[in-house]
Amino acid sequence: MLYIFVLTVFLCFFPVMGDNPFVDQSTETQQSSDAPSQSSESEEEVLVFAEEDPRNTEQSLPFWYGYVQWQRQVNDRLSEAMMELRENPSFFNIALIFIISLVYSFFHTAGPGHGKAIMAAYFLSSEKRHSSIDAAKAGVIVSMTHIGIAFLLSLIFYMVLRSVTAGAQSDEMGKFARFYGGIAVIITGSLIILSCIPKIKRILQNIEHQLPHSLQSNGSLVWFSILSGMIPCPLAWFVLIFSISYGIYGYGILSIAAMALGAAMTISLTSFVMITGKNKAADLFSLSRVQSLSAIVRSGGGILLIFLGTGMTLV
Amino acid sequence: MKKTLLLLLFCILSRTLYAHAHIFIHCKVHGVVNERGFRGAYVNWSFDRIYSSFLIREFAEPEAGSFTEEQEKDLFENSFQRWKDESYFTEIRIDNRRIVLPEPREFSARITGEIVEFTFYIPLPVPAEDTEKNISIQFLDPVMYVDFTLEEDNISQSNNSSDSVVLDNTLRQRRNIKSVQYIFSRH
Repeated sequence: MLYIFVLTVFLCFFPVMGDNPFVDQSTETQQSSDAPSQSSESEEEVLVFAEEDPRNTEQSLPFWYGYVQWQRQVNDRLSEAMMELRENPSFFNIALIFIISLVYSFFHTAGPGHGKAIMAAYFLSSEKRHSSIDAAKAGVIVSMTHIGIAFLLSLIFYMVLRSVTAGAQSDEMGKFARFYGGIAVIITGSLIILSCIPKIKRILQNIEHQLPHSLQSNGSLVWFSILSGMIPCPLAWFVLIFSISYGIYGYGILSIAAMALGAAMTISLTSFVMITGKNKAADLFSLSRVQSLSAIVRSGGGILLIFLGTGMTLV
Repeated sequence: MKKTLLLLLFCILSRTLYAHAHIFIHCKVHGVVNERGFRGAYVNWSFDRIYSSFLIREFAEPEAGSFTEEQEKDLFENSFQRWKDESYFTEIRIDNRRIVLPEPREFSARITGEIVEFTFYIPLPVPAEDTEKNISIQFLDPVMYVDFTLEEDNISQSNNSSDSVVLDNTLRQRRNIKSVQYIFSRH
């Protein structure tokens, strides 16, 4: 009877811990008193069903998800190449790091979340006729800001403060930059729409007037590009930390320099496509029609900026 | 035609506010049943080398090769639990009905080579019945800042029911999302 009682107690209180296949019980560190308690049959979890919209029960990933999986392989290859570089510093390995970082960043930036849409909306809403030089300028400024901020953070936190919670702080700074950057984008979009209202009124009233002075000046492209790139790049941040961990900070800087170049190429390319499309459209239509359409298109660009800015504040 | 293409390109560029993967996690899942039914699942996350170095730098002594008890607790509070609002990117369905994720238990962290692994247990007490019951577990970050990989070789199970409960597992992929399915019933 005593044997059965002891066995029952044993089975009740130690049913699960011994089943963890991912932890070697002989070398496992002792759990602290504040760590999650061991499960037991006498403290059984009560499962709660979540309320959800019956029309929307299944999530999905987009059709281009395969390219995210490809990035995983490139991410692994980059880390391997950097470790090989540490063991065998050669020109070939340095060139390999540069090329992998450039290609990785080029395709990584092609994915959402790097300011391309904001720059596209800017060029769409601009009254000025931009050139390919402006596209290149936008690409360089956005990427330099995006990656440069991550580089500066690495200098501040690891070279000066040596803070152990730098990761959490950089995350907070990213949220801060994203939120207030989003606010600035919303304000800019709103101002563009407000500037278009008188023009749209004239179109509706069929009145021809000289176009009002545009809100956008030569300096606005630089300002907008900085705005688009002001969220620090997590990828660059992680690569820099990785390089610090393995004592190859210089090569980490080389890697992110290549990443900045790759990102600049992608953003410049998308900006160029937008500028070219808009200029071609302007050439195809008559001047009066362009003047009529420009207010509508600019308003659309302003609305898009508000949408994107709202997304930045909420994500 | 050109205008149409340009318009289409613009629509694609401005379509979505998804992020893009910066952290890559390799998942393993181990389901456990006993004579009462399904009990829970152990989950193991292996991070990519670059993010692992970030975690080691932040929470451990770089040359130590392992986490101390204090560092493990720090990791749990300042790294793992920061994903609590996202339900730890874990969605569990019982017979296709989503449940509120129970709080993970038995968190542990270790360093294997240059890779950091998190292991935790999700209690899922579901009584076995004569009809088949299905428990589906998937890992997904909707904004894809974190990317999860789940392969068939990394799904396992323990059956401690002495044959009173039949348990099987399978990997299902739908709309690019993989989920592990545990199917069990009373024998």
